[in-house]
Amino acid sequence: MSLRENERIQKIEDSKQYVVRSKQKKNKLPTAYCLLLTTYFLVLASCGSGGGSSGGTSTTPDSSTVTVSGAVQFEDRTFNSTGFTGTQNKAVRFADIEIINSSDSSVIASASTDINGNYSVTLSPPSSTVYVRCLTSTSVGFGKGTKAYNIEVVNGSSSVYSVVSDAFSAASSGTYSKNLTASLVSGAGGPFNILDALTDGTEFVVAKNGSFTSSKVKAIWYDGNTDGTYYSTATNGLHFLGKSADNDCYDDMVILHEFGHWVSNNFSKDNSPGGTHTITGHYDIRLAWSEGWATFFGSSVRSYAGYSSPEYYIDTTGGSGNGNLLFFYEIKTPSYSSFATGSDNELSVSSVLWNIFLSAGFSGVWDVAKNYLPSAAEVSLEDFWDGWFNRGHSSTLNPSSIFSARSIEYASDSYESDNNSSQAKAVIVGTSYHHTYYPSGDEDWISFSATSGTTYTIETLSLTNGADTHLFLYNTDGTTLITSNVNDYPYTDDRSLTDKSSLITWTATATGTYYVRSKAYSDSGAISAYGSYNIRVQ
Amino acid sequence: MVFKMPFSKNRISKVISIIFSLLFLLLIASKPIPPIEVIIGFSKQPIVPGIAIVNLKVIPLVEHSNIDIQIELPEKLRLITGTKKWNGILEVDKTETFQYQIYIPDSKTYELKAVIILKMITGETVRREETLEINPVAKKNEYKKNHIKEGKDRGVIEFKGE
Repeated sequence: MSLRENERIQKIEDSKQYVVRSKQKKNKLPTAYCLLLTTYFLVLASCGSGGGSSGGTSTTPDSSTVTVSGAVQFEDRTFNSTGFTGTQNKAVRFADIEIINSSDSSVIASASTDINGNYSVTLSPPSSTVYVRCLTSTSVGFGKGTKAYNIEVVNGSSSVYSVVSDAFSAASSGTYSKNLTASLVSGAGGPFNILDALTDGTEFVVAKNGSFTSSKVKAIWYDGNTDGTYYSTATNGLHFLGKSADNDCYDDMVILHEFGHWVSNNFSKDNSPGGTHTITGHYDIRLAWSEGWATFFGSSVRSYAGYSSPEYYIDTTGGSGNGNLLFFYEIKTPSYSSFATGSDNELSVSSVLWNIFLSAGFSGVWDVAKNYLPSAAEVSLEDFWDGWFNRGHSSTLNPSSIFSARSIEYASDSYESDNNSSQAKAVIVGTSYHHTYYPSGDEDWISFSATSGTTYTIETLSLTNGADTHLFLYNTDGTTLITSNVNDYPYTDDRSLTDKSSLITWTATATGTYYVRSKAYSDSGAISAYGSYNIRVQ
Repeated sequence: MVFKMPFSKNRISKVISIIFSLLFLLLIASKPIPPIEVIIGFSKQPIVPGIAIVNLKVIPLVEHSNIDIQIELPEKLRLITGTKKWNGILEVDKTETFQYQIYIPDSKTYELKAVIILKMITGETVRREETLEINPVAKKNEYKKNHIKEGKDRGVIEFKGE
């Protein structure tokens, strides 16, 4: 092949690179580049050259081609509930491979690694020295339609990480072997581990959903990053800590937890108000759902990928050497079990989902998440429960016992039916009575004997499972409203800004039997339809 | 999404409600944190040989019956002020700072470890270990080239891979 022909092939190769990258960005090929691409294939056909990438499989070279092949690995850190336990080399799967011209840093050819980390690129013998580069991205496979997803791990300036070979001359036809390893000590292992964990995650989604989305899975990590580990809906980006006291680049469960948020936002729906959250805390049921789902999802991915003890969430400090555990918890038989109760605790939510998964598999959970939750006004475990029945999965598994094991009472209380004044249950002043709002729209009525001139406190207490109570006091006829806590200054129906229980203080003007109606807050913006609470008159 | 807000009939309240709604549309989902937060660090970068001031910040996030705090020093380091072992109850959600003055004899690398065990009122315990590296060895990232810009849109960080 003449030098001119070489140059022509080189130009076409360069054009091809540009086309592939443009497609990733805009998903749209300018006409000019379409023409170039067409020309490229015509030229290849006429030259009989291998000339391009092989997507990880070998192409038989002819006498005028160069084949560069090898395997790419990264140094992985193994871990269990004690922290890190060692290291092992692991294949870098489906990552972008580039052959770089050493003199001008241009990309001559590209391919991607296969599931075993192997790659093979066939090209015309380049005149200058070249080197091989493996990137923390999967754009080549995505661009060519061989992989359904596009992952990218970048630093704070959106630069992608890579490992590279030494430069070598490939002027003579033949096969050149170049193996690459992203080592722990070099600092390259971390971003490749993030790519690996996200590859596990995306492979899982593709397996369970049948397809992925065109949205890029973008992870931002760099050594020294103190910005925090979080998922942002604003950027659809995953952010991971890289500080010395807490580096998450090897914390697979932390990575997959955040990816769980990504999946929720891109395939389902998430209404979490966000913010910090401890695993023992009780919060807004939307936050508990969001976080509980994210951990459950991470465990599901690791279960599917065949890792041991997937039911453990493990977070390390990222420090060198074994150990370095920051903290861990289990979701099957949940750690801190006395706190892991209710639909307002994330560990409780994770545990419910995990035990449903163990009994009925992932497909029902995924069906509800994907096909039911997006229609919910405010997504929480309540909606998952409703969706499970609505989508017909109760014939596979009635999850009542799994929910009740975590003190989640999506069931009628023992005082039903008590839905109007004629059905009101008489209560003893000074005694608490446990109620649930179930099903949606349920009302609980009580009656009590009051003495003229006596002041009574009517209140709800011990609210759990997202209960948001609303009280109304009726006269002895059971229909005339005396007062309610709706307009109690300054918090509508709530006792305070952080306490959704209700309180009415009232002095009887006549002796008789009075009625109290209790219902879940249901105005616009209500978060929960269900919930558990105690009611007391004293 | 509309959030319940106080003064719901007030126009200002409605405006605030809308702003809140818009803010919450942008979710920031952070990772789970344990029931006790621990942060250890220098008050300021120590000069060696000399005295370093180390701050251990402890934030219990759950009701507890006891917290044990112990610091473990390498043999050559000397605790000048501060208590090696402490136990008691701390206010939930409030940061408590324990301060230590430690003599550092030379520029060798040492590790100061703090072990914190929180016992919840239910009897369950959470153990945290935090390590502070004194005179840490500088990290050597084996960059072949650092942050090469390729065109206007892409940068690549290259590490030696062979």
